[in-house]
Amino acid sequence: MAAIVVDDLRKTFLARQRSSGRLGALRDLLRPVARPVSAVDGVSFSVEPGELVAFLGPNGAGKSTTIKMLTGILHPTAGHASVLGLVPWHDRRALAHRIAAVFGQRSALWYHLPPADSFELLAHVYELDRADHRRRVETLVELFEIGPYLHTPVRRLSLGERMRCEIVAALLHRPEVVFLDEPTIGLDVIARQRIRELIRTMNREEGTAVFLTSHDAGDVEQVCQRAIVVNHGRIVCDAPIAQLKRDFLRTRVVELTFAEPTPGVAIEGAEVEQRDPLRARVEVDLSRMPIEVVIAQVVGRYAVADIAVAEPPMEEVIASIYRRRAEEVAT
Amino acid sequence: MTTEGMFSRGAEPPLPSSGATGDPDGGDLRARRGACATAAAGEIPRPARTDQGLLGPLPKYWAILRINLASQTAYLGEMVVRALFLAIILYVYLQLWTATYGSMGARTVAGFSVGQMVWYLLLTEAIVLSRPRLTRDVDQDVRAGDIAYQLIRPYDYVWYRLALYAGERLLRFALCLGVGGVVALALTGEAAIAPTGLVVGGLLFVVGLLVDFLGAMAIGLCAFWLEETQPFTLLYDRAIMLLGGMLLPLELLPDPVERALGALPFQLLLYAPARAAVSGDLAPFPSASCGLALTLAAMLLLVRLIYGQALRRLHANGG
Amino acid sequence: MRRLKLELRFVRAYVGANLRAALEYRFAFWASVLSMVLNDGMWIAFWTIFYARFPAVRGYELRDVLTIWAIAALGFGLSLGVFGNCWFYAQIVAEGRLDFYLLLPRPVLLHVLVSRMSPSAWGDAAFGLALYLAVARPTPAELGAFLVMSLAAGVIITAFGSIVNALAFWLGQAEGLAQQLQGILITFSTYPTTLFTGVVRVVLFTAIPAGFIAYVPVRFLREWEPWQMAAVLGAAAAYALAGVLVFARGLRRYESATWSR
Repeated sequence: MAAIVVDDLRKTFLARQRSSGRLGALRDLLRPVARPVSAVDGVSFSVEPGELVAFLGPNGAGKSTTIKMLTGILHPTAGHASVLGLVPWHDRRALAHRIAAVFGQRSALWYHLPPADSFELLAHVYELDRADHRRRVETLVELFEIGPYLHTPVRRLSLGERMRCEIVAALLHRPEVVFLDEPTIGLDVIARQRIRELIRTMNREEGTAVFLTSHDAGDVEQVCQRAIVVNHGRIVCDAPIAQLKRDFLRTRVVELTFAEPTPGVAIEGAEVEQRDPLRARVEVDLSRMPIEVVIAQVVGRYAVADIAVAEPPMEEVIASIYRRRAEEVAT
Repeated sequence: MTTEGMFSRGAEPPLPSSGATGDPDGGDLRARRGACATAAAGEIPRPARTDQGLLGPLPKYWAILRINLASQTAYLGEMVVRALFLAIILYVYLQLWTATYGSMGARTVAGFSVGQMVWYLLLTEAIVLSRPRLTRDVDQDVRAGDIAYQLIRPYDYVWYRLALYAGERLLRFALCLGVGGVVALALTGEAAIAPTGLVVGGLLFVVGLLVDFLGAMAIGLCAFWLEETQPFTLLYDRAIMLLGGMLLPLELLPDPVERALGALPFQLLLYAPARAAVSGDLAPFPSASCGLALTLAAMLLLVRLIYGQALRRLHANGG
Repeated sequence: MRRLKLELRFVRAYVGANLRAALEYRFAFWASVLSMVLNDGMWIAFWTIFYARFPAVRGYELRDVLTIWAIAALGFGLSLGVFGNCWFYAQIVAEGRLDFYLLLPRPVLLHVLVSRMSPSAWGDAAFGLALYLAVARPTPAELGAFLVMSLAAGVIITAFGSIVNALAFWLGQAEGLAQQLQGILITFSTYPTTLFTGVVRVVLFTAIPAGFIAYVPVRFLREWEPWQMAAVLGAAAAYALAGVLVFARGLRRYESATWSR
């Protein structure tokens, strides 16, 4: 049985429209004009138990609205969904015992108390058996290596340490589905790696399904097996990561800084954007031209002071996905 | 949860800081002091200064007062709501005294009619409710290191704070009095104030404002040494309310208590101006103004002392 | 029954955690407790002085007024000590932070109310209890009745605050209003209710339930008529129910959110 099933889920908001001028403002007060805005416009997918899914999309694409509906916080305008066999907005409380959510930007821990105290409280919140809870805390503390600061007030912890405690807090009641929203935001490279590792371990050891929202391409690539991309409230792509990488992450962006002013830079088989005589940005389509050829050309032809090769940002990937989808639909 | 006026217990909504020129960084004090030191060393050419004229530095402070006043009007609505709460208090008070006087069959008690009791409370409450949160602002300035930043500006920090304080307090007082006055008039059917008493009371209030300001400033500056100034502010506020005769004119108190409170300066801030305005009795004015003058002198000395110590500490430690 | 025990244990754990968090800042905690005790003490001084000079006010002697104060102080203390958010949660609703509570498997209203504590509340509570013990020198039965009355008062106060803050679901904002109404409730709960007549008196037993905090409990402690106890307990139950219902309606509105947040 699928862990999450979503069928044509929709959510429409009414956005107030402000009329201009003083008469308009008065009119708005008496009879507010509203324009319906489709935040989620017919979304359908399903997630198997133990799957690691990335939920992607630019800001305002409808990601948080969808998650709110799946966790029972929001009622949909139309459509159906079931999480672990329960309808979220009908059985919110029962569902709450079996799922968890971690928000990178909002803390679920008590700011002035040590994480240990928060864990104690959560035991009461989730009605956990005392002995079992104690064992569980020990296991998780060891796994996530938060022992040294278990009794330090959260306000004194670094962001990385705090995030690990947040995830432990979310796992205390052995949820079957975990929603992670930007878990690595603001973390340094090493902390990020650790969090990703721990998420994978958690999934492996406990079979927890993970629904991850992130703007970090590394999160997506290293943690998830599958990506669902939404834009304008609709799913534009639902595919395994491997396929995504193969089909869409085929471009590289090369940033060049020259030793001397070099106007009119041109590379065969690649698009060049030159902002000023000392710098250029080269976009390489890997399906047409291998990166080493381009770099060889550049270095061979021009005096290069600095070179940086990067993957395009996630937004661009998604934008290109959306563009491609639209094109496919058109043909 | 600081409270203003004895009737309010809940957490007050945060008021705008009187510092209209708040520093956006509030950051590393040492870094800024470094910058200040460079400037003071004369590396940057100083602009020409205009002639100060007859009034000296006063126009500068007047400008500060004016500008701060403009920014206060944004919170007008909130003040009006607070003043309306005053209406409830006045109503309750009216009922209390009407019932009490009625059961005694008396028209006046200790020279106060029911109407005068209500107007007395209105005045003392207006004085109390109009008090800005100076100690909190000064405390924040000290802790954030802003105070050092203020020191490089061409005015005295204390007078700068006074300009802000006076503007805010006078506006709030006027509002309380305005709204409260309408309510008191509606409730009692009379304006139980005497014109001459009003003038005298007003004078006493203004001088009392200075004294109150200096008291709060003294506590605020102690932020250089204390971990928390809030408890002392609370004590100071309570002392003024309790010992200043906010709810009961001193005549109504038992003689020994009346004598004791009469000797303390707190009653000069509340009881003296309110009673003068309500009764029109000018007899106590000379002694009251003497008392206020003495208290003012003492407070000035105290603040200058503390300020001097604070500066010394600032120069030694950097904040 | 098991449900009730679970919730009670949950509340107790929360209060404990709240206290520990407040005690992290020991100085500020004791300072606010002290300040509240002083605040209350001032009022006692006022009334003591008042009654030294003036006769009974519409049937209320000094002892009666001090009893009102004791009940109100203990009631407010318990309310703000345990359900400290009952006067403040409008902001949580306005900022959409209710989501946090919706994700957890505990009754939302209870959880919201319990997740904050006003440290000064314990000053109030201690003061109220001490005041009553000093003023009334009660027998065990009288003390028991006093505690029941204060608990009921606490429930009414919590429910009232909760209802006022719930207005945020409809008005979008209710903080300022909540503060004013809290002050009004306190004011009317600490004066002899017999001072007020007519429409105001009716209001004090309906919209602003000060009558059930200041009037009926004191009469009960004087006259020991069972109907008085029943009235207070009934009022507490009615207000509690109203509080729960209003919040539930508001929550439904929040969840179906037709207007974008």
